[in-house]
Amino acid sequence: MNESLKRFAALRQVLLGMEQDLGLCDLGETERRVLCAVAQASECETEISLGTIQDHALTKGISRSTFFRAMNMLVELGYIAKAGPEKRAGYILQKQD
Amino acid sequence: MNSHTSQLRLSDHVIGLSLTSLFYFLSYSAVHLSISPLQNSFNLQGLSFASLVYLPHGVRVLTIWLYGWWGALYLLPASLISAVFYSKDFEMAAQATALSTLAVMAAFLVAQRMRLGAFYKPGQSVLWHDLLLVGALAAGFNAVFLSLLRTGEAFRFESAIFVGDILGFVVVKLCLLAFFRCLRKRANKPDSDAR
Repeated sequence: MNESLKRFAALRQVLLGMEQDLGLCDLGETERRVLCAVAQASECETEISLGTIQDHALTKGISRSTFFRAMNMLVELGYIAKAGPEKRAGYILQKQD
Repeated sequence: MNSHTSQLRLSDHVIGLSLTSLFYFLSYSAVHLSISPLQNSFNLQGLSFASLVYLPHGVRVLTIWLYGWWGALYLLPASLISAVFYSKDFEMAAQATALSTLAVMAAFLVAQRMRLGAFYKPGQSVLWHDLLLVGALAAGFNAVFLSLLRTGEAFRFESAIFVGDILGFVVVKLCLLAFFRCLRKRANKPDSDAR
């Protein structure tokens, strides 16, 4: 990622933190569905693969681009996190609100 | 220069300088064309010298947080152009701009030393309230530095600058928050779900 984009991302992260602390951060319907899918899947295993989340009944019908946007959003907001640095690493649930 | 700012390429400098100039000029214009006239309409006796919501302070803090010393350079053209456009006393405005930029740099250096906050570093997350604290510290330094350019009414002057800078920074952050929120809401519209 180039330096300008990294700075843009840092600014967004600061503002997202502010939004969360001020209680303004409401998740959209898609993010809620993806988060519920991750939460349900994490009852059986700690690290959930992308395939498991995509195949979950709750995420059926969500287009690929919307799904990935929702995943990125949940990562940015700190609800879920990548389990490791590898490209194929799964996700872990960070918060349970 | 910090090691992370030395990685900046020419395109990053162009983007940084352009965005800083645009936002600084817009925020300065907003203060002079709408906030100050509104403030004056309330007839706040003796506060005509300082805006109580000084948006450029927010732009200065965010620019210097993200770009360090380069940020101070990026701020220079826009602040001089703004002074030419809106100030009656260009020399005084230029001096004030230099002191205000120095105040923000000093605040970041002090905050870094006290481990309260720091300049942007890749992979290091910063909390919004830490940044706000640095902004408040910068407002304090700014008030003291700018009082050197004036004689008399020091406390009243410093207080107005201090409050204006902090409120300005908060408003800039809230505007950016609202902007990103709108972008996100637009991106999350369920139209793509229907496909």
